[in-house]
Amino acid sequence: MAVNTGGEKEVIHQPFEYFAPKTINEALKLLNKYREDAKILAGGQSLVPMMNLGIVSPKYVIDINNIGKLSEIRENKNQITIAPLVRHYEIAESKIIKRAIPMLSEAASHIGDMHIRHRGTIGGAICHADPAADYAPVLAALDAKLEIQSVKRRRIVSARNFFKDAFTTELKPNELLKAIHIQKVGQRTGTAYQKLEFVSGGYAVVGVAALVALDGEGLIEKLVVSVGGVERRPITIVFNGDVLGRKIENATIEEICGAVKDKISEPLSDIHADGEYRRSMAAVYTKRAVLKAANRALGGE
Amino acid sequence: MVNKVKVNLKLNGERFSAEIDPRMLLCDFIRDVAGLTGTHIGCMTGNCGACTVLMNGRTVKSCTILAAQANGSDITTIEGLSKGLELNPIQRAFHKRYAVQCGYCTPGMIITAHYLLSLGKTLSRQEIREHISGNLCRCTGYQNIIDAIEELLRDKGLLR
Ligand SMILES: Cc1cc2nc3c(=O)[nH]c(=O)nc-3n(C[C@H](O)[C@H](O)[C@H](O)COP(=O)(O)OP(=O)(O)OC[C@H]3O[C@@H](n4cnc5c(N)ncnc54)[C@H](O)[C@@H]3O)c2cc1C
Ligand code: FES
Ligand code: FES
Repeated sequence: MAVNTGGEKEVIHQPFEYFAPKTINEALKLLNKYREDAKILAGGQSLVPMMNLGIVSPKYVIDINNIGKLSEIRENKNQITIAPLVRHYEIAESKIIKRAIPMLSEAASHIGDMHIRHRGTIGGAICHADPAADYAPVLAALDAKLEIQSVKRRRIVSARNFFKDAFTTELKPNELLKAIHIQKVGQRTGTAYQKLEFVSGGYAVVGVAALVALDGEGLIEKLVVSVGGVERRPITIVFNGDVLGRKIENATIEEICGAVKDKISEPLSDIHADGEYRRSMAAVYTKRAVLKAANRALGGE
Repeated sequence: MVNKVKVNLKLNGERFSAEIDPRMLLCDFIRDVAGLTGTHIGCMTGNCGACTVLMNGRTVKSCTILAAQANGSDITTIEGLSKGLELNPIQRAFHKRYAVQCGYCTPGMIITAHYLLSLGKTLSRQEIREHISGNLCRCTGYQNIIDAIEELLRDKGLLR
């Protein structure tokens, strides 16, 4: 059966031209040509609702879902490379990621609901840069390297520098996020992500990612904590002298949580939670994440 | 006038094609172009799940997908789950357990239940609750819906 429609009553008001390139080069050329007037369409789980509401009105939509190369997870000895179109459910279920970076699959499995996870992509979530999103603190804690490509240039930006402000990233209008490179965590190193959500499938009121490396005697060798949901961008603390070399015990944990609280200067207040509550919960969830990561560093679950 | 795009897809097992405005959403395509009004629209922002359909075997919210993106895909809507007026086992369980009141959320709930059953995985009541968290129901309070899905899983030996 074939039908012709007029298209007079579309929800999206702004007419746009739709492209479905099959290669990265084609997509980059279109992006370079149309720049601010164009939007990349990945999972569409943030972009399409925003277009439906008229918050974003691109004149050119570049759908990257037909570029097969952008859907792979690759592993080598020291590194995992995730292409941007890998969907949340794939990250949650991937054996490679579960084994090497458990907190990344943990974060993915807590994004939205099952239907959103079937469609939404890691690249889209990163580029959307919602302050309450889940991947940002995890990737910042891991110091993931984001590979950014334009027609003429390729550059690498650490996830710690990528998020500039709420919904604002390092990306220029003609640039595409092409890959996410994550160093595998070493021996005796554990990672964990702990999220406070008010309903299953809700955005993070607070989301804390922790990476803990312990030495042979169980003393802290390395500790990184990154907190999402609390300020306009993730707050990442790489702990130094004071905490390193100490045991995971109450006094140490309290000091770590205190340091996290001190680092929060402008907590977000909204209908879900006020700023002081977010700050307090950041400490509570830091404790949980650090304890879980430390336990994993010792080989536990 | 903007360019039109051609969409060729499989809809409930049959080939279907149309020329559409690229702005058209998949949910509107299903309802207004294909005339299948079983798929409901609640929010248009990906929150309520009334528009849930299967795309290549997985549940998606059809208000978050451009119809143009469904080109080449295999879409199943609520109409595709039963033969004519005969109720399928999921619909019968929803009927029996009084898991329907106004019925607005029901197509999305049933598509979701169908997907969960098709996984062949053992699920607990808590896991059922998490899996349907993308489908809002303003009437039932969910308990009867969960009861119905529980019963279906139990019948297959898949309830934990
Ligand atoms: C009901 C609901 C609940 C949600 N809950 C959560 C949650 O709990 N936690 C969470 O983290 N997120 C949540 N999300 C958001 C979800 O994770 C989205 O999938 C994500 O924000 C966007 O990813 P996408 O692939 O859908 O991207 P799209 O919506 O397609 O794109 C988002 C933005 O990124 C740009 N973009 C996409 N890919 C690239 C690329 N490769 N290079 C450059 N720019 C690119 C687009 O142009 C657009 O500006 C939720 C969404 C919904 C609708
Ligand atoms: S109408 Fe699609 S999720 Fe509500
Ligand atoms: S039965 Fe009315 S919304 Fe669910």
